[in-house]
Amino acid sequence: MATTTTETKMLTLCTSDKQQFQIEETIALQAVTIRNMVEDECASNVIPLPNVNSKIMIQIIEYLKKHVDSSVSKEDMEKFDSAFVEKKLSEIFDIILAANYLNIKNLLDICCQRVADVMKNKSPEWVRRTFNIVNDFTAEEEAKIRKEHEWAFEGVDED
Amino acid sequence: MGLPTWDRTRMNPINCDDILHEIFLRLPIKSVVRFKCVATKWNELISTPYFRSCYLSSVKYSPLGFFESLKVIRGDKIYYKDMPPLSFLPICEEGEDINSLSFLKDVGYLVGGVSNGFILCGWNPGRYVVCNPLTNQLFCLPKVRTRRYPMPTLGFSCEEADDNGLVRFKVIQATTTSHDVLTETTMFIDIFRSETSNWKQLVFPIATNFIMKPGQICIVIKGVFLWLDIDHNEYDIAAYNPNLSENQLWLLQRPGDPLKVMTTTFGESSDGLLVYATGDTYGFEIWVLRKKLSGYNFSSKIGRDEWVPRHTVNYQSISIEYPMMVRFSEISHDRCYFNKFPHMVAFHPQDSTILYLKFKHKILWYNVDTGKLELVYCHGNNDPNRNDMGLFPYFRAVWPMSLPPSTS
Repeated sequence: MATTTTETKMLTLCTSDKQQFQIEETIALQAVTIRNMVEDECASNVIPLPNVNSKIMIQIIEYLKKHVDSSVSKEDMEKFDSAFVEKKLSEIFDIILAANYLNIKNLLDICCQRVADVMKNKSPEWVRRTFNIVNDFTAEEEAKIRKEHEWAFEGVDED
Repeated sequence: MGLPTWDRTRMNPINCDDILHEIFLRLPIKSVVRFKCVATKWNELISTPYFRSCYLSSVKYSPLGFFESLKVIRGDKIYYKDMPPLSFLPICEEGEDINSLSFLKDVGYLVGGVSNGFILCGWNPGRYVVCNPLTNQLFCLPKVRTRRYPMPTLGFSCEEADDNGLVRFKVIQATTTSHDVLTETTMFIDIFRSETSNWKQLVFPIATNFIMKPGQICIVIKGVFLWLDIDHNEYDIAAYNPNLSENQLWLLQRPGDPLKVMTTTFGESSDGLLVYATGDTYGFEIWVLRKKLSGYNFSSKIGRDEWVPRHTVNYQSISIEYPMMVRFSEISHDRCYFNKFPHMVAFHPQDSTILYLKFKHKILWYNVDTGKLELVYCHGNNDPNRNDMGLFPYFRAVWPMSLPPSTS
């Protein structure tokens, strides 16, 4: 593979499903994990990202491209962000995992906020069902927590 | 919402502690508490001191609204206005819930102010109830023997007691002798502590003619009760911290021109110093005490020059940028003199660069650092009944706390 000689330095990212993405270095360096790899010079021409698949990588690149653009107003950036997280929860979680691995703080922020916004008025039963979480409390333990915090169980959405 | 159930075969990020932690930090406290019962791991994560300290430092702390104290004082008597006893002006969705709580209709008036998410209600003098308007919890205080004259000034301080989730609170009703003593005043203090659950009566002299304003709600800053003199005696602020000494207090002079004072409030700076705001028809000034109160001896009176000026605002100069602060000379149609200039409502309890003001039927918010003024709340009409009401910003306790069980 030929190294680029143009002014914009390019990096090649290789996802778990062996897809290669060529992106400008300035865009990729927003991910702290990639920046560290480049700075430590442990990255060769191709940076392997075994924890991210290509489907998610496309979305992350879309996000990074927008955020590297300093001409975008704060307002427009907020609009972009809120449109960006309008995705299925399962997809959001995939992005969270990738953002956590790549260490992209603001992306992790908006995705975690999205999950929190969906969850916040829901019942514990809804949360368990939606995320496949096993309730490992005994009936007594659970009743005790509910009793101690009765106020927190008022005004919860119908499941 | 038609969300798909999480696919069991794939890695479930909600099982990753770091990610759960990040999500929890972004939930309102009510949801955090509710989700303790999702699974034992969730309960453990939420219950760690680490999570709690992260949550406390990440949370945006803003008031849910303002309680109004609906009293007028004529002579030595308090008259409660013919209005719903506990009036709350919500400024956010969460604040709306407070007005829908039926139990608040039975707890009387706001008589002792707001502290750490709790309020002191009842009827001054004698019958007091501490309640948490978000959790419906009440604590009825035993009746206290009341002196006939004058009406006591009430103060209320509520703080977290260790890690058991319970609060510790103090209620203080205080009066001074009202006869014309020239050089000495007798303080009468009744103090109720939730730890002992009874009233303790204290009487001690102070070596000045300090006469406390009767029937007020006193401002309490970090456990220090601040009383104001009824007129301009030599020392016109008394500061009382019963945790340090039950029968001594600090006497302070107000900074600036004592004759210009029309409306005042207190706050605490980020480095723990007492902050004082004073306003009149022209503008307001903010002053900071040179040292922490605990750095002064009780016996040494704290003079005017111990205050350092911090900020000055002239209403005329900001009325150009903020037309709502129209020059006060132009609005002379109001009968009530009281209504012609903004009142100092309170400092933000965690941030003394934010000052709440009331001007006519509007509540405003002033940022000392940026000089920005913003509207927080506006009554539809300018009800003259509201002119002389006290206003108390209500902040929920960031971390949920319970009252100890009521004994009476």
